[in-house]
This record gives sequence, C-alpha cells and structure tokens, in this order.
Amino acid sequence: MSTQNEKFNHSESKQQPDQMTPETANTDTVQPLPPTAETEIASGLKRLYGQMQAEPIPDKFAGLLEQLAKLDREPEQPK
Amino acid sequence: MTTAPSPQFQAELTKLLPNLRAFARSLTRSGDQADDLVQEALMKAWRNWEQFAPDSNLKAWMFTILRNAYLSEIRKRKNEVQDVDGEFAGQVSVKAEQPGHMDMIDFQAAFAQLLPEHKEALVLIGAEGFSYEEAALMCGCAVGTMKSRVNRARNKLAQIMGLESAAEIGTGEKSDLFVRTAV
Repeated sequence: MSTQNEKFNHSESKQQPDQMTPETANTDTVQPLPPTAETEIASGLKRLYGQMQAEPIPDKFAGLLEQLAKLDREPEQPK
Repeated sequence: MTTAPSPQFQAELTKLLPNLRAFARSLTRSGDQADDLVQEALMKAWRNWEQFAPDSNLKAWMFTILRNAYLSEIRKRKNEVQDVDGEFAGQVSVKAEQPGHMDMIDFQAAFAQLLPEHKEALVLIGAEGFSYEEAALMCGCAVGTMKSRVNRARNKLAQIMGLESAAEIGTGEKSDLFVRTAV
C-alpha cells in the first residue's frame, strides 16, 4: 500500500474508498427514531467503546515507538 | 534528506493508542488482529510522518492509516469481513456486578449484527466524535452516505433491541440527539 495516499488533508483526500460491502442506495429512507431509543443507543455505544478504550495498553506499543525513535537517533552503520 | 519524527509526534501517537486500539478492535475479528493493525499503523505513520500536515487532525490521519491497513489486509486475506460471530462485542467482558450489565450484553449482541460499514460509521461519529465530513473523508464516501449509514445502523440496532420506531409512536422530525448525546 502506498502511504503517499495517506496524507490527511481536507482539501485533497485520497483515502481508500469503501470496499467493505456493496451499498445499494445512498438515500436515507429509514424511519426516524424516538429520542429515548436514540439516547439508549448512544449510551450503549459509548459504554461499549469506552470499555475498549479503558483497557490497559500493552507495553509493546510504547516499546515499538521507543525502538523506532532509537533507530532514528542512531547513525546508519556502513555496510 | 528526511528528518526523524519529533518527540512530540511520538508523545501524540502514544496518547492516541487507546483510541487506535479501540477502533481497530471494532474493525477486526480478534484482539490479536487488532493489535497487529495498530502496530502496522504506527510503523507506517512513523515512516511517513512528514506527510502529516501539522495543522490537520492527527487522530483522523492515524485512523485513516489504520483503516487503509485494514482494507489492505482484507484484500490480502480475502476474508469475510462481517463480524458474524460477534467477536468484536465478545471481546469486551461485562462483569455481572456492573450496573446495567444486561443492557450492555443486549447492546453488544445487537452491535455485533451490524454491517461492518455501519459499525464503523457509528464508532467514528458516535463514539470518536468525528464530524460527518471528517468520517466521510476517512472512509472515502460522500457525507450523505455517512449520514445514511449512521441512520441505518441506529435503526437496525433499535430493531434488534426491540425499541419502538418513531413512526409507530408518531414522533416527528428526525433529531440529531444521537450525535449530541454520544459525542
């Protein structure tokens, strides 16, 4: 994958288009939900996702960043 | 000549780890896959950090990289994307003593049945607080498509969870309560 396309710029986005499942319609024909249902869904989502975010982060990620930083600091060895 | 990322860039990436991990877990079928995805995204971001426009949104940039890595992985594996087994929801254990744990189990089960792009739309808009415009940009779709996905996802959840539709109880205009409540 070319990371050239990953620059996040609002004026020229080149993100990979959706390739998950085909979407048949772009129009919104769904029924509106009552506020109570919207509230319940919103709070359920927040709790579910919040639990994910609250989980301890494995040390390997910070270690990876440290390692990358260290490699950048070290001068390249001649081969 | 390229320069190394600044310590500040490293610190910002570290701060984003919980978000990246949660987003990856909402996309993938297992915790291990999610961690691999986060690792790959971090390495790509590190190698290409000069492409990040300083005045733009690092979280959105990282989410885009992670999502692109995920889509590449899908193409590689040619796997079924849909979380038919509810593995994403199953990754979060809900302890019995937690208040409202039955509601949470219901929600997890319902969420697991959504289409991948609907889960993604809900997470980006409802949980991460991106605007529709930002989420559409990240997903490479129109803003209207993103709005439609969020609406369809909410309605599907309501249907699965047995919540009454507005049409049945005569509610009028569609509200943006979801966004206002969730973000």
